[in-house]
Amino acid sequence: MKRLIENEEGVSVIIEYILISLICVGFFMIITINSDAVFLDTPNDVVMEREMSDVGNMMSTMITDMYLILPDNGYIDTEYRIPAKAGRETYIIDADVAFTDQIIEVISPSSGKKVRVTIGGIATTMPINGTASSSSTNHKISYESRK
Amino acid sequence: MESLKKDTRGQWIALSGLVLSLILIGLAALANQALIAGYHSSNAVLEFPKENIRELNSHTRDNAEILKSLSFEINNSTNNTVPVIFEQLFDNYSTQMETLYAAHGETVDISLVSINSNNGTYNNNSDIDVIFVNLTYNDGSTHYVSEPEVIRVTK
Repeated sequence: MKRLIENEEGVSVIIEYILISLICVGFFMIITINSDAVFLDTPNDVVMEREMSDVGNMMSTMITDMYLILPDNGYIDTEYRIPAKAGRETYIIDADVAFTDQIIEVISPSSGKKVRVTIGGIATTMPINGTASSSSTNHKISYESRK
Repeated sequence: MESLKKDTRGQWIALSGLVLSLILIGLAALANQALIAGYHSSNAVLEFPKENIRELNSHTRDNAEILKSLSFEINNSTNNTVPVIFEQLFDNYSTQMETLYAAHGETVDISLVSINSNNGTYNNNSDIDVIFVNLTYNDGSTHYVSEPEVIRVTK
């Protein structure tokens, strides 16, 4: 090992220069071709996946909390804030599938990414429906006992 | 400077420094993602005034029973009937709750609709079984209305 490191025969400056240049050119070619996928798409996918499931969990938590304190006669409504974009894309919260599947879907219409979050069977006792787009300014969940 | 260029020792230290810095960069990227995740779901739990609304409800129920026994006590020393005394006490309770919630920046309204009936007056009965109370709660983003909340006073 020691001999291998200290042995400097067969190494010339020009060979070293050519080797380094070739490696650098190859490296930068790969980086340039894949830069969009490596530096933008993959982190964007990770961020969207996490943020969309986060928003889905938020909706599920809020609906469960509201379900716990629903008035027998009366109504309750609450406004909430969500980020306008997850990663680089807008998304839609879809609760229309809640009644049949007991889930809420968070969908990105531009890329088709979809995250599903359970609502723990609440929709069997209380109908849940509606959609919300992340790009609209006001978001609201409401419940009315007389309807 | 000359000696620094010629000195080729410590290659392994330099190499391990590179490896360590690469590991640190990877960890920093992961930590940044972990920071964002879970923000909105936990924020929703904090912001939604679930406990405040529940307490408004359960306090009113608890106090209705206390007020009932109190109005029977006061009835012994005044000419007023039990429902009249109860109504006065309930108004007091309502004012106090409104002040308490206003201190947290929330608007509540607790108003007694009727005692032992649902037509806006109370039966001239000496006992109190059921009261109808209108409850509203508003904190700017959440609006809760229970009209009426039927409270059974058993004690």
